Amino acid sequence: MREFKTLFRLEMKARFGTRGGGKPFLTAIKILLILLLVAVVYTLYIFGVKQLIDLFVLYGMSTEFLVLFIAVSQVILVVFGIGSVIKNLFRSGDNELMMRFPVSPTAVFASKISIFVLYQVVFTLVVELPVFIMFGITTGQNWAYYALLPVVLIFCILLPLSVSNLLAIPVMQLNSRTKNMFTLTLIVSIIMVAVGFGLYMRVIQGVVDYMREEAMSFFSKETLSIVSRATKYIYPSNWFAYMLIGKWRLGSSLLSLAVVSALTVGAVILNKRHYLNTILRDIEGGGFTFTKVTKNKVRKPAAAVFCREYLEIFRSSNYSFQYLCMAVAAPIMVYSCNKLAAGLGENSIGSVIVPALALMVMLIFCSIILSFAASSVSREGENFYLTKIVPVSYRTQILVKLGLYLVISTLSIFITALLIWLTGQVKPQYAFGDFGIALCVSVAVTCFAVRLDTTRPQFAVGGDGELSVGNISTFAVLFIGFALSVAYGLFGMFGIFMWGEGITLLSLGLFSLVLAVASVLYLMIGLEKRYDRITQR
Amino acid sequence: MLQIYHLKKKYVNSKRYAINDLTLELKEGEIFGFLGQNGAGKSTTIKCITGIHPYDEGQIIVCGYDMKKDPIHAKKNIGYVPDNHSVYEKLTGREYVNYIADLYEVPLAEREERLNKYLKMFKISFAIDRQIKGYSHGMKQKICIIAALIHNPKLWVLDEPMVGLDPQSMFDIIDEMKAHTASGNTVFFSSHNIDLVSKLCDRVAIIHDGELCALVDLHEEGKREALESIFRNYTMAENQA
Repeated sequence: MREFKTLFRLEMKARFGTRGGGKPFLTAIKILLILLLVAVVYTLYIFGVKQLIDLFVLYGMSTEFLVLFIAVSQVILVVFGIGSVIKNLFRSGDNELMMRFPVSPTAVFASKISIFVLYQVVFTLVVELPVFIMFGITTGQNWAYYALLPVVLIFCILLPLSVSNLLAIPVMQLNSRTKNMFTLTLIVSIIMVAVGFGLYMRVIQGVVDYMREEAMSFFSKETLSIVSRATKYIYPSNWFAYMLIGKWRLGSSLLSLAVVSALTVGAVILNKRHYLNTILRDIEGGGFTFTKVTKNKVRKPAAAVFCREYLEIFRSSNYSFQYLCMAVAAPIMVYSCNKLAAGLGENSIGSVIVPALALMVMLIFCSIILSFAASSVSREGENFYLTKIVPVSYRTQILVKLGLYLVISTLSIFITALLIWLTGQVKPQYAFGDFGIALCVSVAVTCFAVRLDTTRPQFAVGGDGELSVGNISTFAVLFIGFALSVAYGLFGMFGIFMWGEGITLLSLGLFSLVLAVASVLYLMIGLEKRYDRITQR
Repeated sequence: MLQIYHLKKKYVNSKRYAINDLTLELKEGEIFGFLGQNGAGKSTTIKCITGIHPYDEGQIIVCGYDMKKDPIHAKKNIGYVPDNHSVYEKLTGREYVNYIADLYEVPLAEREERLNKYLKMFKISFAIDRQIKGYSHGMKQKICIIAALIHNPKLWVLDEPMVGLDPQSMFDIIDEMKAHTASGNTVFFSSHNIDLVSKLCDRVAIIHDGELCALVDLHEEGKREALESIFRNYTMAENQA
């Protein structure tokens, strides 16, 4: 027990310990802004869910709502849980260190899993509990509902925890075996993103169509029957829900208890038997490396930097997903979003705004892709010293990286422009007008992103040499990129009404050109000195 | 080969100088040792010499090129082996060495000849086409050394080069240091191993609290044997004070 307490305290300190540094005033502003953002998002969440409960209750589908809500939150917890279990339990950076200390694997496991349980408890209390209470009040549940609520909440914590633990080892094995199949991983990621996004857009499109065609009636008889039938088979979420609302209470309570107990015992046995072996194998394996026989080849220094940077991204599943996968999937996403937004916009405003809408969506995805540039220096991690010792100017190194980001994003927005033109979403002159503007904004966003990272890089890399924490510059670029996209979109729509498409796109183009030039200057002026000042002790 | 004049370096948020008024001159063809306790300023000095850290005052001249005014030419003449053997682990050994050779613009024939020579010397031919991520500590150190030597630098700088190496690899590095200096180049390395430094080096600098305490010519009679006591005198006297 003492071992566990010490390790748990260490874990807590490692995660939430004081970070120090920084100016107190700026830190306070940062905390305030984060709190404000959280408050806004949380209010929107509560408001949205309340509307949804009312809508389901209106159509006599309150049970279905409860089953779906429990199922969705369980799926989310399992998906994130698997990643979290792998990262924090099996591939934690300090596992090797822990193995050297005279502490039992059970204590290490318990201390690490406790943090995970803590996260699950917070999620359940903050995200799920208010919804259960809102549901209880709206549907006028009796005392038994509230009395059984703590039990269901415990089930809601234990079930995803057990499932995540049971699935983590097989997922880890699969991940290790496919780790070096870079092209396959990238293709699968692209397909998954495109299909997932396609499905999501279909659902949204469906909602829009229902709202449009059935006079704001979301639940047609057919939908009602499908949802109602489906929720009967969503185990064990439906048992949890039945337990609460008193439908077949004893049976569903016993079944829920049996399932949760069986999965929990299974997870405990599995981890007791395989935890130590798995982490030792992972430490020993060093993460499954590959062999690639190549010939010695001469490249110009700039080309060498370009190839190395590309390989570093391509050979990392995280980076290739963040950058390459998003860049490839962007045209499909823009096309779908544009189709939906244009459909909505055309309906209520008029088809003239389509070029501006297309531009806005294009810029939003550009910002997502290019926010990756905000970690161009941070990603060097422990190898940052190499960029300092080699006889290649910092300017050249940064320009090459900038070139790589821009080549890929330019290709992505060019294909997007082609797609929206060829599918008849916009006229060719506007499609390529949008392309020109998006190109200038891409340059501006990339330069701004790199500038931020050359000013204050964060070399927080994990054991695999990849960034382990969210880079603040990336969030800043995303935020500014989104703001810029919305501003462009709104100005574009307003301008089209006022002055027509031609003048509006031309003025946006000119502004973007100025923005691009200003951003290039913002990055390049003083770059050598700024880069020279970056140090790692 | 390497001239350091009145070098001063202070880290951000630090009140004291990590290096204070350091002056050193390294001649062609010598092996120069750099001794000091932990935190004495050895690595900081090396990082200033190689261009990793900017410095506040003073001058560093490598083969006639000022590190501040003409860093590219200065860096072209340096080969650096870091103490933490950090390399791009997603690349294979060959890809990494070729990358470094490209940056130093080493012609194909020369890089092939040197690469083959060092692969044989360090006995890691079997691993050159494997991803570096799977290398052992010693193998990573060896690939760092090969990359540092691929352009045949005039000044070879090594920070604690022997840490984690097997005895045979240590002998190989020592032999290579001697061979490198025999052809007119200079080796500058930091170490905690006084015995090794006394046997290998021509001259030694002892640094304490960022300041140069002693510059010892080991060719002078009795100095090689007395190095340990010289080191202890300086560092312990300072500690007691």
